[in-house]
Amino acid sequence: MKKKLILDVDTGSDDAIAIMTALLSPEIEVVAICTVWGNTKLENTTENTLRLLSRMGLKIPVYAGVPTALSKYLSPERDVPAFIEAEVDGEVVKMHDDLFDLPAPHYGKEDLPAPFFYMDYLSEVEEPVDIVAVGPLTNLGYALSLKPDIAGKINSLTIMGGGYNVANVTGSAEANFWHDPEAVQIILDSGVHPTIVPLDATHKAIITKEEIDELRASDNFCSNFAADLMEQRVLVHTEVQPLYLPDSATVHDALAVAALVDRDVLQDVREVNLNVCFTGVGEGHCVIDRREAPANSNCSFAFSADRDRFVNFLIKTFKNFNEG
Amino acid sequence: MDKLKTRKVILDVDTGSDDAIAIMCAIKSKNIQLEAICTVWGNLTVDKTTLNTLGVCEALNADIPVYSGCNRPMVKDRSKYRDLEDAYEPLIVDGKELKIHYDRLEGIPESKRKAESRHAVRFYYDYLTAATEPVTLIAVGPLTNLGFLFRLAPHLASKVEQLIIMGGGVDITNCSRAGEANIWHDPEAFQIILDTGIHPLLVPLDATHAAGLNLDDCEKLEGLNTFAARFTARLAKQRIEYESARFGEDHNWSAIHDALAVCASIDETVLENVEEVACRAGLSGSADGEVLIDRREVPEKANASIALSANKEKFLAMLCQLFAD
Repeated sequence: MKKKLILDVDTGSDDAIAIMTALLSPEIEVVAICTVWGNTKLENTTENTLRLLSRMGLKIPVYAGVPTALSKYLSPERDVPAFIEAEVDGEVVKMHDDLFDLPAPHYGKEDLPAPFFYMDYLSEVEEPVDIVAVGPLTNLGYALSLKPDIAGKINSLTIMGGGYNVANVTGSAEANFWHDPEAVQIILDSGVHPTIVPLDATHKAIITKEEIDELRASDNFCSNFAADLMEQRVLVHTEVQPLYLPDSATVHDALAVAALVDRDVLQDVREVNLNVCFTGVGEGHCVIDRREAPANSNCSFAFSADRDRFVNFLIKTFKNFNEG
Repeated sequence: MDKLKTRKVILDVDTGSDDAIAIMCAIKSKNIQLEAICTVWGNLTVDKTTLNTLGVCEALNADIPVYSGCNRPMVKDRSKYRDLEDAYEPLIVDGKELKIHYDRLEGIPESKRKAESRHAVRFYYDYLTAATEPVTLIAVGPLTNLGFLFRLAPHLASKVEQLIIMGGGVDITNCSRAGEANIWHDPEAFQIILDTGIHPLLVPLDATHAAGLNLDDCEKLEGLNTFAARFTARLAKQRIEYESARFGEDHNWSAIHDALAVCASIDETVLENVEEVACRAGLSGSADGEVLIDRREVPEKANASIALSANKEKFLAMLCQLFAD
């Protein structure tokens, strides 16, 4: 039986690749996509998601979520802008364009806001579902705050976020966790016991220019669009975030989706007790209990990934798109 | 009071002794069309505040829908480094435990009804989305329900004619050195509300303490010999008993905070010294939960009205009139 999946995204370049990965995986049935602010504002992440689904000829319900962090930006000292872009040949190249260069969507978002969708859907559904969340965790933090008992209806929650030995948005934080650290803590406190796919894993499972060419060779809309997005990411990485292989890019969010289909793309997955810091220079930082006798584990944390396995998975999966 | 206008009202309560009196004011007032009551944690856990709310409605034979809401602050208690120590502990006097809010309000029936199945935040969202007429919100507990609502849907603030909040204190605090209970319990929620531009009317401790009831006032209410008046006197006397045990015999009165906020929605002149202020919620450190008013010579643009005093005689007269039959 296919895994029923709800995706939570802030689309976003790697989110788009993650959405396509999920939709092209025969093992997965995507029942809904929730959007959240993050890589760009909520209107754009929702519009981008709808454009992508429409272009793929699909009509999966899209629920727009919370437009900002639960509480972080209420404190002026915590309200610092952070996004990643580079200047290449005199032109600004962003990691995430505000709006995808795709045709207008064939359909609109649902009326119901994403947190209420989670509350209704999870209350009513009989078989627990899988959730992969690859943006700020605001929607799930909100839903679990209002209705803590829906935690029991989540079969697995895979989160792309955080970092132990790798950071991006500040010296000690990854963007999704940094955007709404309180929401992450609410999830960690809820007993859901997520699998965390942090930068330690995603910066291992990178894709090179040659491999992007190989993926593009499938020559369908999805493989071409994914390759375009990846190439743009290679440009930004090369300029401002060079990785351990030349001419390569991270595809963070897609690794979280891949892990749902093939857990072995993650490596060195350890049970840890994780807290997220809300204040000061440690804002958004993953605080893992490293004492000899740590507090009880509240998540599984992937400290590495199998790059070849992931890249081969992507190349294989993107062959699966059939136009019309 | 009949010449005053009638308005639709949704109450948000953590019932609670003074909340119970506030609910009765709203039910009894001819100027209030009570659309619903939302409950929140605060004085007690939300299952208790909900049962108490249903019980008060039952006692007055009022079939008002009750929506149960949040049971903890939005984010404050997720960090042990916040100010989380509530100063209001039970007192033991002559072997008897005195509380300002008993778990189960005495003197009201067990409700035959239950709370509605929808969460309070969802109710607000649905109600305000569909609303074609203005509605007044009166929030007299921690502001968590409204904080979550406006975090998700700040545009719904435009559907609210007026938001009256019992909360805050300028020269008077209670839960901590800096904070009054309702704001202190969930300061983030208060800040989210302010950021919508809804411009609430704050009824702080400065106003509610100016309108405190003493034992003579309780006697006057008892003389009316209606359920609502007698129940109000009973709750007020319990509060006075606690407060004089805690603050000394000279403290022979108690503020009926939440009822003053409801009375202000009926006749705003029960409040006095209402000023326009620019305020923020303290979200950390020793000012955690404080309503920080911009006190500079040239403050920022006002985002709230705050009542720095109240007319006690008028408040008592309103209670007596509301509970006369």
